[in-house]
Amino acid sequence: MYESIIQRDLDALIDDRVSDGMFRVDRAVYTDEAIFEQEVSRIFENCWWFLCHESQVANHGDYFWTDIGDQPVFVHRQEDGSLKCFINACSHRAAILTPFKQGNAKTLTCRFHGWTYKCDGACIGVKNEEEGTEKGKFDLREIARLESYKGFVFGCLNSNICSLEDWLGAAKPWIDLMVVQSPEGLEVVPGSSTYKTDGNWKLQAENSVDGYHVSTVHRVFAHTIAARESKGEYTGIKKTESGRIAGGVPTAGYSLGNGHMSIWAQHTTPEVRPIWEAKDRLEKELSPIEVEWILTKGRNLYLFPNVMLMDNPSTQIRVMKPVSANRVDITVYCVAPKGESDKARAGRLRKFEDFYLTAGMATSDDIAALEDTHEGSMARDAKWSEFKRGIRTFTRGADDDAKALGFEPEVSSDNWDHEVLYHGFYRHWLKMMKGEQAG
Amino acid sequence: MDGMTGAPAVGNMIDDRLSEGVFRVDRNIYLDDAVFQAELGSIFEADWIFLCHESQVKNPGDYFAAYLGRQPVFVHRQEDGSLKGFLNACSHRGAILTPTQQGNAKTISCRFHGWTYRCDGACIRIKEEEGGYGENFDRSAYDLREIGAIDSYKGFVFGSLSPDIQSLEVFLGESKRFIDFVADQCSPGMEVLPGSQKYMVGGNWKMSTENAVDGYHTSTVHRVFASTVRQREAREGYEGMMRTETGRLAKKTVRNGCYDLGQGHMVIWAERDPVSTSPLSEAEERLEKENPTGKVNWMLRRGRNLIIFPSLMINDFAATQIRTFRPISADLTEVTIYCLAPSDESQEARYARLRKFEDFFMASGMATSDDVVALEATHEGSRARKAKWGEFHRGIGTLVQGADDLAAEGGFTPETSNSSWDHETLYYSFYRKWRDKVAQAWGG
Repeated sequence: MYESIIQRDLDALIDDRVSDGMFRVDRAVYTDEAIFEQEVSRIFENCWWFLCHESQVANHGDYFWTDIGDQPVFVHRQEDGSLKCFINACSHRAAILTPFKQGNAKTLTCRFHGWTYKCDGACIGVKNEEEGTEKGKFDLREIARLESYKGFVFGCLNSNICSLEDWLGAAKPWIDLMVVQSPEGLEVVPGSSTYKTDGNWKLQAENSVDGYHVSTVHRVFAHTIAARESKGEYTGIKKTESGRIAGGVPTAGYSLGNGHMSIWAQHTTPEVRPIWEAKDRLEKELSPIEVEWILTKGRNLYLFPNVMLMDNPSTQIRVMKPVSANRVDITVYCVAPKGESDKARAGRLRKFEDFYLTAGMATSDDIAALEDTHEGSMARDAKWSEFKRGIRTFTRGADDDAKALGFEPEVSSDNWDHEVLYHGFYRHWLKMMKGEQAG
Repeated sequence: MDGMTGAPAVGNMIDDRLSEGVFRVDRNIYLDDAVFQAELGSIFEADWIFLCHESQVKNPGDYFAAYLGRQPVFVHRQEDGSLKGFLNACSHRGAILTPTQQGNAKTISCRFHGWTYRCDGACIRIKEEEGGYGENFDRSAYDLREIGAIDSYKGFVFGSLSPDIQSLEVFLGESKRFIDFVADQCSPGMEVLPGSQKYMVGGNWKMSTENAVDGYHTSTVHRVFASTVRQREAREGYEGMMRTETGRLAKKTVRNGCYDLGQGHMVIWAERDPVSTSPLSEAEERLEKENPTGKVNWMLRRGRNLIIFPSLMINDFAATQIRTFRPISADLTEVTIYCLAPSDESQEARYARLRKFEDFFMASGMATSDDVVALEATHEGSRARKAKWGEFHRGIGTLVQGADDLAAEGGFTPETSNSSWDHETLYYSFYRKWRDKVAQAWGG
């Protein structure tokens, strides 16, 4: 009988001997339910957790319902323009208060027994209230911390955590590269897609910055696109950059600290990107190195633990909701520079659909690969997954590209096929699991 | 899970007092998650478990994916005709390697990052190997991991995750003769026919195992099957081997019985009435030439349900069937069924065999669907924990130690024989072995 590994020794799960050329992870980290429960309490409830984008709660009364770990919360835009985030449970009997995922309500009335709360969380109505009731006792419970960085809103259930800016650290310039694409900032385009994956959330985290799988898993995507484009119906912005899939272009990967990771690949046809139309403006507004990164490097950024920002064929916010060791629910949003032309927006959306929707041609293949990997991890006698590609060639700190842009990664690797960026992810994971680091 | 049983309690879960006329099992054995975990560890991931039939992996490169407990594995036919079994997980990041349940691939490439393995498990390609690992890289460290043991007996392939295990022949013991009664029906060999069916039962796997050798339920649960088939046969077109012999279901007009074969293997049987309904009856003359009459009586003239501990059923009644039970949780079992047939039978016999297979064994048929309902009702009823015990003492008074007269002509020596397939004495060695295995897992 397997006892849960967590009861024995968490350190034994991560075999971290980089100087010996070895870094491997016990596959129980994906399949063990006791490990998952500890992730919820030690990690998800103790670190900055992505909630939503400010454009999703633009006006007074706009709310957005999501979860931190397995606790439902909602973000509510206040009258003074600030944001608050509350536990999404009526103070009376805990019913979810938000009638929809996203909407506008200056006051929220519970649909169960009719208690009412003001936008700022104050309980202002108790149905058939008895005289002398102190309604203030029933105000909604705010979460411990709420901050946003350039439109990206994060919350934390634990007050004992560093500032969001410190948490994001070296990942900030990667977020900036998306934000500065329009002087008006970004907006989440209406609509989203939610799908479930029968696999652990960390497999999804890994996959989002795994350049090595692209030429295998997305080969059919590349062929299909090439066949489609050979008919001549798809020209200009309608074309899809596929050099990154075929290989042979400069690429890199970074461990950014606090478990964050990123990769990029050189685009061979940057003129097909929706942002290309803004080239002249960007060259006026930004430094040449920023423009080069924005226009010619397709980028995937993973922010520990639950969100990914992609700027590759299209631009995406991908949010994870880990449900159990063997299931993660994923929601994808298209995020775009405000004020782009209709033509660019259409191109962006079509490419979003092509690659990122479950009904598209690439994400569906990723899901199959991740579910196969979760199921294969059940073969417990084959214990280890190795992350040693590039272990002998990586650079500590910044490579030339990182220096030029101005961010300081923990390690740089000159190939997105490499796996050294995961070392930082799993070290951070282990620290938090052991309670050695709050956030 | 309906409550957790502490490790020391397993001995008390089987109330084994034959001399006092009592044999009963605590119904918590069907419900308790700690029991379930122990079963996976000590039985399904340690003992011999059926994987597939050799006809399903006939040619070099043929593979078949299966499970040993929770662990995915696959069987691969080698160039030299031998079989190997591997953990079904890429050495790189653990993805399942077989693209389909069953197929042919001389080499298998992982669909995730493209690593490739030869039929013998050797890792022969790592995508972008040169850019990844530096000098002195040893690719052979990534060869696939073979399972602990693989062996076959007359076409039935078994595997174990543990290398430290008794031989398959010793494990099978007296059940071997009952495998022979099926495997020897045709000298070119038996074959699994194309197609299979999987269905889920919302009940514990041990109930499915019990039910496979439970003659007592047939006149109740399959009464409607019997009357439906009888009505159908009153019309034209159902004659000879297209008929379904229903004497065993409705009335006690035929002799029947049960054997505890030891080591948890067990069998029930009933005389065929008439023998001409069996698709195998066309081969009667040949069988008599090739075998002693006593053996032909067992092969042809008696229908048999065999359980090989813990979860393989080989059935030769209305049609011939391989049925496996895969435990998913204490409350959920995945069942897979295949039709097994002599490879040289006539088209007429094959046709009759398939139609009768569909009638009885398919989830959409007329009998298995009733079994599933009965098993799910039993699992649910077991949750009434105040009613603690499942009784297995029918026939405890007529139990014969060792062989009866018919065992002798079949050339096998059971632990016990009993004169009716209604009786429940055949389950004793199953539950004793089960108890010992679970106790072993709990270190007590």
